[in-house]
Amino acid sequence: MSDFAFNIPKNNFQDWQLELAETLLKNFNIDDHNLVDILHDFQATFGYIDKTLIPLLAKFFNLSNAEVHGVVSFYHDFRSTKPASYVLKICQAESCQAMGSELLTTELKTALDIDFHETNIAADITLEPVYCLGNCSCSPNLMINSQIISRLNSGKLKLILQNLKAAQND
Amino acid sequence: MSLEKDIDYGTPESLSQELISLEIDGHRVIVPKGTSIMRAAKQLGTSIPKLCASDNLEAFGSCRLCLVEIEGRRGTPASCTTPVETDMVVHTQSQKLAKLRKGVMELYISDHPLDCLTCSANGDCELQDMAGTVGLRDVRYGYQGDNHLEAKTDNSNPYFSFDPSKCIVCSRCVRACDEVQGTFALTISNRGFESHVSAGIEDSFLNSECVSCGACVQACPTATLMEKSVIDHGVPEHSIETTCAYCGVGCTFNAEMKGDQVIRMVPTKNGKANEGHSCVKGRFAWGYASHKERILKPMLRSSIDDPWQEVSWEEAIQFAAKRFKELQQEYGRKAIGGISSSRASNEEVFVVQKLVRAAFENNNIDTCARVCHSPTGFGLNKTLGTSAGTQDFNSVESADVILLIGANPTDAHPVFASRMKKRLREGAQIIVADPRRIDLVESPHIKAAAYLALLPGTNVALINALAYTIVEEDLVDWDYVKQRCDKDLFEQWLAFIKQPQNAPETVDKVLGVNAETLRKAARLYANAERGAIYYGLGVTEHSQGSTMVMGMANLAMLTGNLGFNGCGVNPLRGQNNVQGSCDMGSFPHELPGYRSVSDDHTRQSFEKDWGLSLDNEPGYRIPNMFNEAVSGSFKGMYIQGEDVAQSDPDIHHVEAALRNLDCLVVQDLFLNETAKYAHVFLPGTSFLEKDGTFTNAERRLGRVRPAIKPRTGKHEWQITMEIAQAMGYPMHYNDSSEIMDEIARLTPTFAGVSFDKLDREGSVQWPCNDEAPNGTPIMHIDKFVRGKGAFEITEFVPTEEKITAKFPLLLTTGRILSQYNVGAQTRRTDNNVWHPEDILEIHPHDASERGIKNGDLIMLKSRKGETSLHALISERMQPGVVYTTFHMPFSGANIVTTEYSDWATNCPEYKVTAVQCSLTDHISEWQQHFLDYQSKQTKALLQPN
Repeated sequence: MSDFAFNIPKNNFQDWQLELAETLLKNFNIDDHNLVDILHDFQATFGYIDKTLIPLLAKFFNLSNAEVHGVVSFYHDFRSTKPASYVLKICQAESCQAMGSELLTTELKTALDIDFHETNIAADITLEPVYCLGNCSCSPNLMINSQIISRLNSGKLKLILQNLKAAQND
Repeated sequence: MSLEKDIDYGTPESLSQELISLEIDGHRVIVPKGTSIMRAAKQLGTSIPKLCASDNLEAFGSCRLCLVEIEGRRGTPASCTTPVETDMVVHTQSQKLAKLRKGVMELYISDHPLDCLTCSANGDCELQDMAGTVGLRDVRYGYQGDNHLEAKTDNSNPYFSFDPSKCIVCSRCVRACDEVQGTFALTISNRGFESHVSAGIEDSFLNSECVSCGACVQACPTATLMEKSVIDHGVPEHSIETTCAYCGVGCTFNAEMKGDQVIRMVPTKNGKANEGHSCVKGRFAWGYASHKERILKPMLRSSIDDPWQEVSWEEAIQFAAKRFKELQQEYGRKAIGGISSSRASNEEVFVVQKLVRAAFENNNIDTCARVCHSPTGFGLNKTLGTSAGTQDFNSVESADVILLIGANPTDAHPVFASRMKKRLREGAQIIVADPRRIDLVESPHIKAAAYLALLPGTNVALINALAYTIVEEDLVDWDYVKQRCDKDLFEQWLAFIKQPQNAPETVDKVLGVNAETLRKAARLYANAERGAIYYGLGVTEHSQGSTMVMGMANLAMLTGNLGFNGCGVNPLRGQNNVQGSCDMGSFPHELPGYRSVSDDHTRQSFEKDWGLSLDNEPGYRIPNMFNEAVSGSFKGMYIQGEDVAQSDPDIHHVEAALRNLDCLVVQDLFLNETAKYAHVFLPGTSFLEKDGTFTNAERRLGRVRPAIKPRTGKHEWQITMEIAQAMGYPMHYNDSSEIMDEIARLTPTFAGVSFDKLDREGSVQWPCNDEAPNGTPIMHIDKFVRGKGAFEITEFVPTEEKITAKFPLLLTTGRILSQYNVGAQTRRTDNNVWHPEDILEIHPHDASERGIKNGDLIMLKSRKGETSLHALISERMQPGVVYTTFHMPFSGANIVTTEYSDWATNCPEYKVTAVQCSLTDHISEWQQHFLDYQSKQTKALLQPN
């Protein structure tokens, strides 16, 4: 347990700039991309979907603002604010629940003193629920940025938080 | 929701020719393939419970109330989304279904306020009805769980409120906005328990893309979206079917009433022009009829500087008649004349022209069509033989390529635009020719296949370039031309059009559109299975307006696009009854039915009926009347419902003419700009009081029925009739149906029209006579009205109005959705929240060259005059072109427009004026004068008797 390897790069999202978004959008070929593809790309760049991006996408896809907003708001994965350097997604689905993720979620919330979709600024961590990471055989699962930590337990969780804190001070 | 419950079949009609037979609840039914079980059941008279279905929307299957059982199939499918199959056996009621439906209703009601008794939809609520239908008696879940009862009401729209606490998230509003209106302003935001209706990006309705057409309000099965007038006054108790009095679409509405009070206007599904849809004007902006500024009593004054005196009808009419007769005695028979209104009914217009011809004994009658669609009448008559559009509105639903020229339907003809957009979403293509980038060039789900951003004043060069391409690339429908068109005229035209001056490569610089785009557009239109041309005032209001109308008719004949469904040449008429006012003979050279006053045979039929002889010389057109008034030989005018002092070009000249009149009689709802120069004011009636007919842009005569009796005590036709009587001509009608009978008696195209027929049929499209007893939706089938189609030579002659160093920009004028024409009605409603003032749209490049920023006050100056407006920097404009509307009198757009007009009809060239724009810190001299004169005239109105 003590040799639990841990080295996860911080999220390195760009600050929201409308001009940058416009430039990025110009590079997309409308025939090769759908709205959800592009939303993923923008979230990967900026960490969230800024409200002012919606009219740009609406124009690009010849849709209304309402339609784009309908899609963005439908998917929980699309955030409306910029997340912290570390996004922790803890699985709430059946398999992970059966393996104790509920208790671990409470532990995580208490340790960070935040609820889902909130950010502990000092710890630079955003906490989010997720419903299945496709790794049920190794439940319970947690995802930190793009890395999955499986067979999570209380000890691992503490180590993770310690590690993240240490990384914070680097 | 609405008071009158049309049968709702739940899902749209299937147009399949293949029939399917099935059994529902033990009864056989045969329906077209593709019909839903729900619709098939309704056809048998069986109503399956439903909340999210409506036959004007595609099936959605979300409410889960319409579940049915099908023998041999598992589960309980939704009847709205399940199409019928041969010999299917369906059960719409069973214990299992009853239990399921009750369970669904329990869930709905567990999150719905239980305030039916105090709810604005009480008695007019589908949720309430369904609770009754499924026999809901209690809600097992209680009401204490998570719910949406605290959600805040959005009251931002002036006409309806959105109360999400009552919303059942059935998506009907969202789908109505998408499928019926085509604006896509609403969505269901979020998911699961958090799902809710969002306007735009969680905006208020007012700040979203919502165009306030009312389709969502009508679609809502609860009180979530509700007219504020119903919230204030309660559910109406009776309704009267009538025709809207705004644009030339002529939508059918039910005026829903409580006693003599109009509560709301609801579009009716059986209205053939609108098929149940509406726009913000017709649906909501009718409050002007009871506006405090409306004048209800006749008034007189001896000089335009005197205060007005209220007088009796008798005194006002006698005074007007006496003055008119005196003026004729002193200055001659031709010293007086009249202008009829395209806002008035056919019957009202008919009696005005009869007054002029029979009592004034001259032909000095003109109508406001002079300033809008007179070139349409001229051009289509010359080429095809009828002064009217060729199709019904329904035809657009079969068009494959639409060529839209100089029209902005989403603002000016919104309900027709929705029908057009629906067709475009189905895959039809649109070519837009307009100097300004209108919404149909690009907006949600709409993208023009070609956009021809031509310079104002170059229409004829455009249409010639399209025709040249079609000839050069051999896309001509030779069979059609040979069979249907005049050979000699065609050959002359062919020799003309082949000249290199008409080639796209020659005119591209003139138009500002590249040659390849022109060729592409020509190919698209010519190769279309069904190509339809739609146009507006951007075609007619030019010095070559009539030429352009003929050019479009040439193009349609050349490609065989006339005389079929989905094709045609279609003017989008501006005013509710501009077609009718023209039909009724309000032209100085034409008797009703577009027949020349110099034609002895026609004149004699009127002379015989009217018992006097008629002048065989054409009278004055409106511009002639003004010119003669300025020169002093024309002295008296009777103007019915037209505000020439705001709507006509070159206002300085109009004002000088009006000031010079010895007797100006104005008949209107309000003391309009023209009335400020009047001696007699005769109060008119709003459409809610009228009893008659309007004729829309598709030649459809619809009944206008009085929802309330005339607030002035007199119908407008009675006023005109009494003036005629007072002048010594014995005109008499007991009611307006007798006027229509006279119109039918004297006009062959209307021979079969009567109020009885209209009450029976709902509406009818002229020609309606023995040959076409049920009217004529599409004209020129098999043969043109004139016989052989006439190709007319349409040489491009640039307007004399040209940009100069002093006036380097071109001004073009137009309309906006929320306001109507000179705004007499709409600016006396809450529609002003969308458009409180006219603004000047200018391209960023032109703005930055002049240091103009958004919202700056700009002086707009032409050689005719100047006026100040606030600027809106807009990429809708092309460099070198600026744009404004003329809905507000203070804007004085027509101070700037010029005296140029169409060579054939004198229709003013509103669409091209060379101007300069510069920053300013003050209003113009004319605007200052306007404010001073307005306050003086308002005081003149307030003087006690």
